[in-house]
Amino acid sequence: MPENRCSTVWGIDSWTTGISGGMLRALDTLLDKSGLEDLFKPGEHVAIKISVGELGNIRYLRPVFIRAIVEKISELGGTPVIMDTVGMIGNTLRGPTDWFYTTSVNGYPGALLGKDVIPADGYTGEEGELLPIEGDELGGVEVARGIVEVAATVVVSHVTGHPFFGLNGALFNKGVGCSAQKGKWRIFNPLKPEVNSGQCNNCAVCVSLCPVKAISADNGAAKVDKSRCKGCNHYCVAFCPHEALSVQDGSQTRFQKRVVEAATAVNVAAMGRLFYLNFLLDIGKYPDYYTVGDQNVTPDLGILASRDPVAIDQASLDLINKAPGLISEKSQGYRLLATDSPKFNEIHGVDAAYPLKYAEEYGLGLRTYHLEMIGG
Amino acid sequence: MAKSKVWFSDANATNWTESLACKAKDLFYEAGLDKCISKGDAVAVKIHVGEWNRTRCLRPELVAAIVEEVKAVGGRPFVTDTTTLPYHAYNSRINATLELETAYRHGFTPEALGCPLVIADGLSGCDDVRVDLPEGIVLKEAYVASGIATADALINLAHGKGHPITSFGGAIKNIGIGGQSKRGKFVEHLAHWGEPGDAIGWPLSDPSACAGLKCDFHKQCMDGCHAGAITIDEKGFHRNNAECRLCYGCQVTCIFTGHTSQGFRPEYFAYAQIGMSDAANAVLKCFDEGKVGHMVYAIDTDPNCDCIPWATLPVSPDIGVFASKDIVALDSAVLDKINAAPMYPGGANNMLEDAGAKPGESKFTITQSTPPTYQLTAAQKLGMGAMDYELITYEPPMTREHIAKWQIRQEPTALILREIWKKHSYVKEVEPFKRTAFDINIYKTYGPSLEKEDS
Repeated sequence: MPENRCSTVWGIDSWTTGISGGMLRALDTLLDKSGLEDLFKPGEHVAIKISVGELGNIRYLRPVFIRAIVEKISELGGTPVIMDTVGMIGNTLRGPTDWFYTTSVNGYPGALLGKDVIPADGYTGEEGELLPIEGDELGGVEVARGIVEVAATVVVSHVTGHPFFGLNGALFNKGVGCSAQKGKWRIFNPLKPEVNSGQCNNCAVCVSLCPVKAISADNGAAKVDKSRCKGCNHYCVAFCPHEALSVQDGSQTRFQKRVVEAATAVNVAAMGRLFYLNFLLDIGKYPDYYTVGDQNVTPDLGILASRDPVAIDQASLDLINKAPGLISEKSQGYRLLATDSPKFNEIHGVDAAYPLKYAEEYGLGLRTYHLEMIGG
Repeated sequence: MAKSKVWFSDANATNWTESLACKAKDLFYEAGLDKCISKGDAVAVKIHVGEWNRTRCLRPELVAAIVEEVKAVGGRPFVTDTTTLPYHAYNSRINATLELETAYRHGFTPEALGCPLVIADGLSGCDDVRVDLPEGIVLKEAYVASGIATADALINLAHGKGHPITSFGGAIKNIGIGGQSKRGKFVEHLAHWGEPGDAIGWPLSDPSACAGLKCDFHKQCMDGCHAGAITIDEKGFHRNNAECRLCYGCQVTCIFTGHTSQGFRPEYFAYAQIGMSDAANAVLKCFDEGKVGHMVYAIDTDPNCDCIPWATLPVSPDIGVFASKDIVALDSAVLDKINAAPMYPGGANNMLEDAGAKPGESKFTITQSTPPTYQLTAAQKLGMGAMDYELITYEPPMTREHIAKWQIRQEPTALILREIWKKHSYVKEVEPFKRTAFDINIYKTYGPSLEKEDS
């Protein structure tokens, strides 16, 4: 790739400078100027891929922003369809009743707009289409049928940290969030936990968190039955009070690669007709599909828009790293994260920059970007 | 007085254009109800949400159809109803939270309606606007629910059916009672009238017919009184007349459990109709000239109102939908059509058949013992409209454009599927669609032959 090539990322900040300058108005301008109208023709179905958020998470994106996007797509003549994919075993976005309950409780009933949130891979997550892709890890991935069927997709990502991927943004939402259940299992498969029996005090928190009963702690330290473990939410690793569980060396990298490769399959499914919106608001440690939402790691930084998922995630990561840090861990005595620091690397011990590098090598997009800030 | 126009379309349907919902949308425009609405108007769409366990209320789809057209002409609609008095011990609409729960059970949710559902007189029914009625026949003032009184325009969307007090309930009833706050309803029940002996502002009572504590329903009778005015002991019931506000609670318990110690004086039913027209006039006075339109769905013509917590077989087959800007002409037309219709077999608990009624006779006079016409003559006297009307029977045109007009999308939706099949074809991918040899006669194993015999 030539050195001078770069992608454009449009952005607004999160300041409100007067009665007429709120974020919704700025978002409207952002959508006008960043070329959303080139994504689809009037009459076409346009998926708005959101992350509804797991029950218990309190930092997911506010529905009012999704409504603004619905209205803009309608105004441009498209037919918006709000979609998410069902969660993995143990999640509350699974099966018709839980799906309805969770979307409603989190404020996405959407029916007044006539735009209910539709499970893109069916209520069981089984509705996917296997699309072949090249790469080190996955030969192909099952993309949610809903994403395959629409003419174009707007990937709306609420940017947060991710314990194993680093930055939960456009790439993660696209790679994991647009995959059907089978695809998700294969993406997460490398993340099987190991127990450091020296640190384990047999509290059995991990046993209660495991949705497939793969962990036992009956005699002494916890044991993981690798044949039962699906490498799912990895709550066991993320929430062990004694940090006794960890994933195998190198498995994080394999997982990161798989997410990136799966994201390529979505390119195939959408025939390249994708648009990305990264919301840098309530930037917490954990993604919305985690059942908790911890303290934010930086102040609100704004909203970005681009046609390049790598550029928009790189810009997001740069903004977050550059920003003043908020409090880190309760256990660390409310230490403030430093300005100009790789915050997710510090919090999660993960290389957040690596997936972006791999994605660029892989041809998904460019890490070099030009950030065009739009005045309110 | 000049004849008022009433538009009517019957309940028969043989194709897309004749769906009752589509005909109602057509009548909305034919009768000029769209002209009641200016762009940006807050438009009250007044319905009856129906009592808990009532199974013959209007279907939400028939209401949503009109809400959609209010929106289409630039109005900002909200569907609305009011709280009620405790007409019986288990009333489900005595306050807004119970009423919303009831409305949602009947499917009147914001999602189904496509607009908010508002209880117009507030949480417990005390939010109202006083309207003076110097010309009133019975009432000199009325209390209109604020949510309705403060709207810019009103679409009075009624269900045509009978009523145990007012004999018939149509458009006049829908606002004459339905548009009043709790205080308005008390006023209209004539609760402030006369002496106990008159049995106008109090129930007509016969204590000697009360079995007292031996009556199985004596507790329901006492608990059904929101004022706590009824006590029952071994001697029978005692009513504290200073507390009674004539809500019908004790009367409904007594009458509908087959007892006779609480009832109504016959003249009360006439005054209830006349007072209702006075109060309906108060609602109309809250709106500027030309801002109110009326519609009646005369279907499921139950002898009793949607305020009754059950439904029986109707008095007639389904009639159809009516629209007019003249509320008196509209109700007159609805009543005439219901009366002209054949009896519903076994309808109204066989009351019509037992009375040997014939089509053309006033059905509700038979089922309710009171002619339904007091409300019409009173409303005409008040200048609300004319009982003499010109009925315009509407038939929707059977054209391609008119079929498409009221469909979910105006472009054929099959084309959406065609677009999706371009990406992957279900029909071609799925194995069972493979063609195999077929024996056309196998079905005869399961039933008679359908071959046409040679003539």
